[in-house]
Amino acid sequence: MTAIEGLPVTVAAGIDPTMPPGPGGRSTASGVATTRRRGRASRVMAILAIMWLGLVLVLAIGADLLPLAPYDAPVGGPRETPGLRLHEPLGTDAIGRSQLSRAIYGARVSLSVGILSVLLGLAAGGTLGMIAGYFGGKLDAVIGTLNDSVLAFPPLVLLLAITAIFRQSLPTLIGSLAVLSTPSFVRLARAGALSYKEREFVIAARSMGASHARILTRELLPNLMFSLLSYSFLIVAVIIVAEGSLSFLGLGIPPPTPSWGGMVATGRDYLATDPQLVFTPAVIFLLTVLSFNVLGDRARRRFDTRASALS
Amino acid sequence: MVAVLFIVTFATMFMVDLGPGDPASVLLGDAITPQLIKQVHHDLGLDKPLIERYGSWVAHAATLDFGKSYRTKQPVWSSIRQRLPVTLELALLAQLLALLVAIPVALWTAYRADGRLDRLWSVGSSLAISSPAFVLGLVLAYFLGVRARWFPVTGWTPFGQSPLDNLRGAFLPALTLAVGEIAVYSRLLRADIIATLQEDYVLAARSRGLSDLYVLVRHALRPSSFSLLTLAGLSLGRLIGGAVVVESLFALPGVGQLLIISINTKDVLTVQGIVVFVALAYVVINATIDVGYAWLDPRVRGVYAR
Repeated sequence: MTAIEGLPVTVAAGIDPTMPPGPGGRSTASGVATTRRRGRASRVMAILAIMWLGLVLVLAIGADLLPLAPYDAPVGGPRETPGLRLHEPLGTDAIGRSQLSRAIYGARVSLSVGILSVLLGLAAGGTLGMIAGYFGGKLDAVIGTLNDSVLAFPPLVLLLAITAIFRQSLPTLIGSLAVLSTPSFVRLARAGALSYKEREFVIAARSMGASHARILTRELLPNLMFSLLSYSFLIVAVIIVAEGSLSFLGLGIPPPTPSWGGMVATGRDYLATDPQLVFTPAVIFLLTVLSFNVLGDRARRRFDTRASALS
Repeated sequence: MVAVLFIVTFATMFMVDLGPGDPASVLLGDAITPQLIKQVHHDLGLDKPLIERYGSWVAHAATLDFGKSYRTKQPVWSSIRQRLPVTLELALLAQLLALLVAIPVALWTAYRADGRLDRLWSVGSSLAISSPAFVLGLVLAYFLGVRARWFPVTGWTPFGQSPLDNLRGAFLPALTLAVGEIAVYSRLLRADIIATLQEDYVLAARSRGLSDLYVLVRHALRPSSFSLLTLAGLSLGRLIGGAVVVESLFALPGVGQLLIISINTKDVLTVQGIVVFVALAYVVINATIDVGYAWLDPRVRGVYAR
């Protein structure tokens, strides 16, 4: 199986999710100009992405301090339309609960689930991948086989299978999403460890009598950390989509805790008459995923040392 | 590969044991007696040692016998087979749509790289890649289904009954699945065509006075399309995952919908059957693609056949 399978599609395909690469080789005068214009456009995109994620994060963290309506009780008539006003600017949902409050508390779920499970996957996958790449041999073969087995399931099907076994709860959800995000990190960390383990500074450390544990944590880890973290953004985007899909199918966080996917799902019955019930959470969701993709891509281009290290 | 297959099947079989509580109590509901529990355990083979159970389960699964659903009393495989055509049609239609749109777009954006359409497409495809099936499906259903009334929003007509209605009903779900693929395919192909256009033989073809279109299609497209084909094969896993969402969204009687229904009704055996069927199909197809790729491109054969 190819080495790229665990990564998000765009990464696996070697393409940039936000911008196509410039014309290969030849650079004409107009090519340079557009590349520069592109560079600026991409910086603006990145700034917008940071602003959006910052806003969502601040609102999600500070939700308890804000004068928000309760997310699980009606505050007005059902399906009030959004408008430019102080009272419920995003309108109300099918049974009159505040959409603004639900969207913000939903952000809490989506972001904390997404970020936490990717961090868990990063820790587990990074460790396993480094060990596999550094020690090689049988250990590498065992970890590789386990990894391939996880990848043998289409992601959403794996997620649904885990959901079918365990009771729906926050820990289950975070655990299964962490399992889903682990293989990519195993592959990345393994490739990185492989390329670094013969480098001079590792040989120097070993000849000074450093233990394997010390080489792994003090020599390899700092070198791999940035490329792993930069990929984390892209994987957070993938995981948030997975969580949203699960919630949309009614198998995510149990109600009444709001989640973006769940909000879209409840709005779907009113698509013909009150499309805003679907579109409000959908737009918020889309902007968040897009922001993670934009930032992840920039981070990857900046910190990805794989290409240079492997050649 | 063999080890992977073993782990996958073993983990799937073990699914039933991992669940909370006894599968028998889930299946029996209120009508529960020690006698019945024993009976169910015996039926499911839960009273035998693990290795023996695995052996007999795999032997049965190899002949597509995944047991009988306790809910519908139907063999699991027959309910999968009944629904398989819907899911396959969706996946194929989506793949076809994606390639039909992606190839011309990639040709144009590579030919006029950095042109207006190219820049517009680069933004548009970022958005497409970031939009999950359940959001995209509802947006399409709203604008093309509810508003424009061009396509039905829910329901499925079997192909044999009315091919035209069938295609009309399948179009929106297939398009939902295709949009993400279109974005990824067109970007990959565009980058590859741009690289191919730098080759000497393209220059030679141009200098012979062949038209741009001819050079693009006859000289550049074929050698650029190999990684696209690999990706198209690998995208099957995503199409299956997307099909689960899309089938539930558009109320289509496919395998994905069966999976969701089975999870909601705690029909563990059906879930197990679908999961192992899909995973095995996925593994086999991916392995076939790896072989097929080398067969398709002589240059790869040289590199990998050591």
